[in-house]
Amino acid sequence: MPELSQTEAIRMKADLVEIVTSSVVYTVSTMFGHKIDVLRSESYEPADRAITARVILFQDDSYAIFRFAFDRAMLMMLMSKFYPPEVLEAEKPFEDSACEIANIVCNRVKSYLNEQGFNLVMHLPSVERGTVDDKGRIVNLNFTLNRDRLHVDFALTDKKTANG
Amino acid sequence: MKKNPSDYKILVVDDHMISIRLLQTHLQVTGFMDIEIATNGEEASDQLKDGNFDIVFMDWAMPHRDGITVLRECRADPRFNDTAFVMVSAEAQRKNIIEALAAGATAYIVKPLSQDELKETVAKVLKWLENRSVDSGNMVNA
Repeated sequence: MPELSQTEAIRMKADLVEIVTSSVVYTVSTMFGHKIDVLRSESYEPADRAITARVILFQDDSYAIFRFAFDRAMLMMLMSKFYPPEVLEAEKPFEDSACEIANIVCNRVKSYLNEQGFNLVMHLPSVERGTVDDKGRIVNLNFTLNRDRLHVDFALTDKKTANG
Repeated sequence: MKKNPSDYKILVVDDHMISIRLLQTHLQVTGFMDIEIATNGEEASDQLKDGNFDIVFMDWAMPHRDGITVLRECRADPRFNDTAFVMVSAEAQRKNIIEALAAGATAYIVKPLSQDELKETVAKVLKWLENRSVDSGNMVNA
């Protein structure tokens, strides 16, 4: 990836926060017709039985991991517009929707960053299973349903690798 | 000449079922009823061989065979000269849109798909189909 000065890195981080949050709001409202509120936090605590889709953006040896954790009740509310109740008894439609939202949001982020001079490549999204020990730059998005309102809790962290 | 949306035969290709349902729902609201689906490029190629579709809505990034490969194969086959191909992709970069149009896409929609954008694109695609016999090189920029 291009070498960034400290000022450029701070600006890039602010831009990243803006592009990720605006992409999430736009994607959910366009697909499902629901408004979503964005919160910022430093912690990351997904709901019990959350469905987590992960996407990796990489360039050469550098990479960033995007983790989208969806509260099941929230996904259920969004998807009920398109699926009959019996279909929503299975796990697959939930995982499919989580991955597609992650796919759309991350493609918008990738496009934005590539326009800034990066040359990022994106893996197809996958569902996270079990405990994963992530290292590197992680963007956590925690989607929840709170009194009929949708929220996304956003946290950007850097977990240093063993090599620093 | 076909007069009603229900006269057109449509294939929707996407590896994400939620995007298929979304597109199907929007198309049905607009009056299109003859809609088949495929969940990857390989399935799409098989269905296209004997499907006689008027419009194909195709995702780009899919397992087994991607949408741009299927599009290129179809455009190399004269049987698909009068079939409209609409790429519906999360790939939002200008270079992707240019690549798809150069490969023979009739239109390109960036996900997430909105009802308004779909209506606008469908109107242009129907016009393209109508004019097809007059100007075979015409493309629509969605």
